[in-house]
Amino acid sequence: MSERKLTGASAGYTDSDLIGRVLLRDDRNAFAELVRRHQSQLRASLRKMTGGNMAMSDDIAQESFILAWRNIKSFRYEAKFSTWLYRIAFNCWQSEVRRKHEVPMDGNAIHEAEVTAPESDLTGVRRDLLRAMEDLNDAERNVIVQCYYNDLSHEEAAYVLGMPLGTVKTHILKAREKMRAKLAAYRPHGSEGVAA
Amino acid sequence: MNIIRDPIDDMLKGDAAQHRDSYVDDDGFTLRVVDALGPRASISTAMRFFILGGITLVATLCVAFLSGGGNFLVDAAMDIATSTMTQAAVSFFALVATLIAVSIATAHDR
Repeated sequence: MSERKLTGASAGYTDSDLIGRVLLRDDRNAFAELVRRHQSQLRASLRKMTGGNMAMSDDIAQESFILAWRNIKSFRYEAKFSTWLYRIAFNCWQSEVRRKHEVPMDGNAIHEAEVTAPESDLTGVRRDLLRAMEDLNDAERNVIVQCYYNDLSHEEAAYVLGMPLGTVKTHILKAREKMRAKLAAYRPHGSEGVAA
Repeated sequence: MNIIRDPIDDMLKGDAAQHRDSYVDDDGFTLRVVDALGPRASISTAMRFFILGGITLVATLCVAFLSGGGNFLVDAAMDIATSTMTQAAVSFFALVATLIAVSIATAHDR
């Protein structure tokens, strides 16, 4: 990669300020600042959705940002910019999965994800948590990723995933039930009735 | 008061907090995105469709008016059927070519 650097003069602005500059002046530096701010969370989220497939998640993240640039006029401030980005990324991920006709998260993908992380970083519980997520279907896994890992409310997750609020809640309950069955060994004694 | 705690919920929250704290290095990602940015669409697809459609309609009316009113298409069809390359036939081919170009442009935008 070249040594060329993007000017960091936009660093002090809010997301709304930067979006305004993109809309008014086609300011690429302002958009670059938006990318810099949100790339980590978006790429990490996509890595969860693709089961740790870094190449695929980075491609989808790049495509999502390009689509955001092209369609930023349609951003209505109804949601946070990051939530809007998650929605674009989810749609790109869906298209990619349809295009490839494959389930993105399989056993190999999880192994690939684990290989990239230092062994010491993965506790036994975390590893088993990842494996429990393997057993979830795409919809359940996506709801878990949006609500827990992206820290979105159920309403925001419904917006991102384009599904009714009730469906989001149902998927969360089902996903937790499946994971509970898979991780039964980790249920600590007395956790079902903790005195407050 | 007893609070029912879900260990799975706790595990997911703990893992998610760790996940959010970890930072994915940019490592040239922003530059790659900025390099790949094309020109931003200045007008919406719907607006483009209406502009192209409007131009096509106006052009069609002009051609029809200048080439004998409503008989233009009938004349052109007769000329083409008899392999006679008249002004009406050429105009008809030009109209068809314009419609094809508009269709391709609209499909490409979508």
